[in-house]
This record gives sequence, C-alpha cells and structure tokens, in this order.
Amino acid sequence: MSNSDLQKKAAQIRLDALMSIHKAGAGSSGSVMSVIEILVSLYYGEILGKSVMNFDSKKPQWEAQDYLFLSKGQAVPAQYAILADLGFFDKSELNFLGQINSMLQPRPNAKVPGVAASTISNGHGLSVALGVALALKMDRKNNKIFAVLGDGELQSGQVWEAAMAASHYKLSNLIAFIDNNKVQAGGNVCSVMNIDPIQDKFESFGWNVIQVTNGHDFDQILDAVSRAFTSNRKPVCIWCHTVAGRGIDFAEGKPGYQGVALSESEMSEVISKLKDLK
Amino acid sequence: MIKLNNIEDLSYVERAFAESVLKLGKKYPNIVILNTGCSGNIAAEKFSKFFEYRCFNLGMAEENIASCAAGFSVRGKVPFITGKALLLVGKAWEQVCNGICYPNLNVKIVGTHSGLSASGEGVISQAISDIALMRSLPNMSVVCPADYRETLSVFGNVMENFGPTYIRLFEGEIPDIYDKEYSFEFGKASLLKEGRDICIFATGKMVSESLKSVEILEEKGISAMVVNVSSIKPIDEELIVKCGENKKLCFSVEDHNIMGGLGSAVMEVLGEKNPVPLVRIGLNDQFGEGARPKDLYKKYGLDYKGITEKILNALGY
Repeated sequence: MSNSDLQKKAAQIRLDALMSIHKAGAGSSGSVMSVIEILVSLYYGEILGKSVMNFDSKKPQWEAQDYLFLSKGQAVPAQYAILADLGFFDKSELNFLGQINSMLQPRPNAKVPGVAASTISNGHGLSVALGVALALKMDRKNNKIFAVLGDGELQSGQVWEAAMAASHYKLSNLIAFIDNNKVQAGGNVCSVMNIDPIQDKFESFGWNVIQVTNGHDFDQILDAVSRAFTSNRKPVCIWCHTVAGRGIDFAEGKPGYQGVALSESEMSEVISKLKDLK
Repeated sequence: MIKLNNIEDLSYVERAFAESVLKLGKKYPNIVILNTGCSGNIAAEKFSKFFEYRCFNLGMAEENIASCAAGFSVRGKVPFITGKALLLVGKAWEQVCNGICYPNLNVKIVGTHSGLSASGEGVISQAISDIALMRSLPNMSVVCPADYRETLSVFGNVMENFGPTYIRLFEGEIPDIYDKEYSFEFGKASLLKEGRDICIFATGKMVSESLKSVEILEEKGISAMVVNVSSIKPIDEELIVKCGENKKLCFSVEDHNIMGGLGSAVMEVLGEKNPVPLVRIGLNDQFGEGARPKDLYKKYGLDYKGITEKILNALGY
C-alpha cells in the first residue's frame, strides 16, 4: 500500500474509532488517535513488497501468524476499527463497543477475532508478548511479535521485569513500540512521573532502540520496522514520538482529551474534516 | 480406606508434585513450567533436568510470570506457574484475575509454602489469605491436597480440568491418609470417617491433624465425622449438606485465616442449604511469625492437641 493510501486508511480508521467511542459514550480519544499510524503501518504497511505482519482474517488462530499485543489497552477502539476493516468481524460490531452483551469490550478481549490475548490492564502487554516469544522460541518458530505500549505505562514495574527477561532470553523477534505521546490520564507524563530517558533505559536493559522522531510518518515507522527485522540476538524497542489526540485539531497534546469521548458538536467538526481526508 | 496406624509412613506433598510434573511433562508436550526465582523448588529443578527447554526461570518477578503464562497459552501451551504461594498469589493477583481468569486460560498455579508450614522465614513465606484471594476469582478452581497420594491424584487429574487452577501445597512431612486406589475428583469431597455427633471439615495439612484429634475425641465419647474438602472450589455441596445433617455442631479446620477460606466456603453452602452452626478453626485473623513449623502449629492451636481443645471448648467440655 502506497503512502497516500496509508494516509487515507489512517483517516478512515480515525473516523471509525472515534465514532465507536462516541457511540459508547466513553473511551480515550487522545490515546487512540496517537497510535493510529503505528497500527496502520503494522497491519497495512509493506516492506520490500511484503506485508509487515502475517495474518489471515479468515483464520484468526493461524499458526504462522505474527502477533500484535496492544498493551495500552485503552486504545483498543483503533485496533477494533482496523480488524473490522480487514474483515476479522463485521463492521457493524463497532456500533456496539462497550455496550451490554457486546463482543467488543472497552479493553482488548481475546474473544474478539484478531485479538490474541486479553491485555486489559496497562503494563501486562509486554509480558504477554514475552510469553508468546518464549513459546515460539521453544518451538523454533520465527513468527514476529509486536507489543504496542503507551508511555504512561512505562511507569509500571512489570514492564521492566518483562524487558529484563526479553533481553535475557535474547528474543530478537520481539519488537516493542513505545507510543510516546507525552500525555497520560492524570496529566503530562513528565509531571506525573517522568519516564525519560526512554532510550537509555531500554538500552541498559539490553534492547536495541530505534527512535522515530515523527510517529505519524509512515516512511519513518516502516523504515524503523525494517531495521528492527535485522536485529541480532536482541529485542527491539521502536520509540515513536507522537502527539496525543493527533488528527483532532482542538485536542492535540491536551491531557483533558486523554480519557474521554468527544461530544456531539466536537464529533461533527471532526467528521467533516476526516471525511475530506478519506 | 484410611490407615491411621500407618502414621510413621511419612512423605512430602512437594515430592508428589515433582514426580507428577515429570509424568505430565512426558505425556503432554505442551506443558511448560514457569518458575519464580525462589530456591528449593524441587519440581522445577527436576523438570528442568529432563525438559530443559520447557522450564523457564523468570526470576523474582511474579507479575511478569503470570502475564507471561497468558502469552504461553496463546500458543497452546499449558503453563504451570510455581513459586511461594504468598508472593505468587499476592503480587500477581491482578495479573491472574485480568490476564488468566477473565479469558479463562488453561494455566495451573502451584503455590508452595502455604499457611504456617513454611519454616524459618516468618510471615514472608506464610500464605494465610491465598485461598480467599483465589476462591473469589471467577473461573478459578482451588485445590488443597491433604497428603502425598492425594497430591499425585490431583496432578493426575489436573489436565482434565480445563481452566485456571490453583493448587495449594505445604511444606514438611505428612502422614499418608489415602491408599493407592484413591482418585481425586474436582468438585468432590471425601468422607474419611463416619461419626454421629459432630462433623469436621478439614483441608490440606489439617486433615491428618483432624484425624488424630478425632481419636482423642472418641476416647471422650464424642463421635466425629471427618470430611476432607480438598476441592474448595468447585465445592462438593451435596456431601457437605448431607454431612451437616443431624449434627450438634460442625467445624472447619484449615491452615489459613478463618476469613474467606475453607470455613467460609463450607458456611456458604450450609447457610444456604441446611443451616447448622459451624465453628471455624484456623488463624484467628492474625499473622504468624518466624519459628519452627511444629512450634508455630502448637502456638496457634493448629496441631491435633489445639484442634481437640478448641472442639471440646465449643462443645462445652
């Protein structure tokens, strides 16, 4: 898929995700918007003519698939919108996000086709990815495992337990994305609990770190992923600088939009803008 | 069925775990062991000798281990997590709750050093609330085997019971209660001794102590029934209700806090189906301390003498 197609796809996913959050009446709009380009690159991107991730929407349990774990579970509406678009389940399900008896729960749920594990709680995702990577290594398989982490969740100790174990077991097929949007539910990450320097931390834990200065630029993300694929005996952290609420002009970089759905009037403003981009 | 005379025939439940896990490892190639950093886990040590690539020591990181197990089951593995019960259950409770029980994954959690059985280290290795914590999780099964043979049988059946299972093991020697024919079933309690006046529901290490105290009670003319409730969840409602019928008083004996453990589980059944007064014997909402297990059980009234005394007091002797 070409760059302009990826951009159009991102606009469509933004719109679908925001609509589902709006209908649910709750969600993390800011957090969902910052991760869109990362997820779109992984699901739709191509490197040297081959798709980044191996998956089959008709066979969600396929043995040879690559795995993606959304550790920042609050951003799952973005993943749902992508999975629906790819045909893992019917797109109408998006209208029922977070409603009674709905398949789509507000946090990743393994019952949803295409979601491999229930990484409900922030901080679990990298450990789950570690478990899958170890199981694959045990079976001498080389499926790739991606974990997408928020920056706020780097504050939780479990992430570093997993980081330590991943480099101990030399899991070079494990790639962790850090969606560094600098905002968390309680305010700015640097004022709540500073997590910098991210690069030094991961490097000292034995990881290769690749920095992406613009986490909304497909060229940069895909370039980083192709470099990550050549990593030797080390897990890779792709550290992406992103903007919370990206694509919603009035919400960009604002902690206030981190944990809320958009109102009716805000939605109509966003819809008109994103429809043009689509 | 019961061989009370055979009290000299001592064995360890942890040894049974080590032996069973080797058998299971041979039978099921998808079993893996995830071990916390604690030393002296003989099961993990033995397993790693035979199946080196299926045993992972992830260090003193219980939270990571529990989530990691969820990752293993994504690839169809059946992870056995082992470690000290207090740390495993306490530190990783949220990971077990959201990551393992919510998606109903086939993960087996084996906690060692339960109750006051752990020697020397004091409260840090004495799990006294683990049954309560694990029992309250949806989808979770909780089992406390009482002796060597029952532990073998529990592990023999554990793969038939799909879903998260917590198996609570204790340290130290334990007299044999069961013979080779015994077969453990999830959701079934076993009636060890018939009696008319009172009924004692016991679990884990306290089963053999209760059997010993019954001998003293018999001398005083009290006929006591003893039931081993090794499967705490799912619990054998039918047998518990039946055993509670026409009894003066019922007792629950556990090496655990009296709140939330076996006593509560049995009371929930009796309270709903056939109300009978029940006296809970266990740790009285208090912590242990660092000492030899034998002295601890004596001080906290959880050896056969203490249990007998409490029963006699409750009966007004």
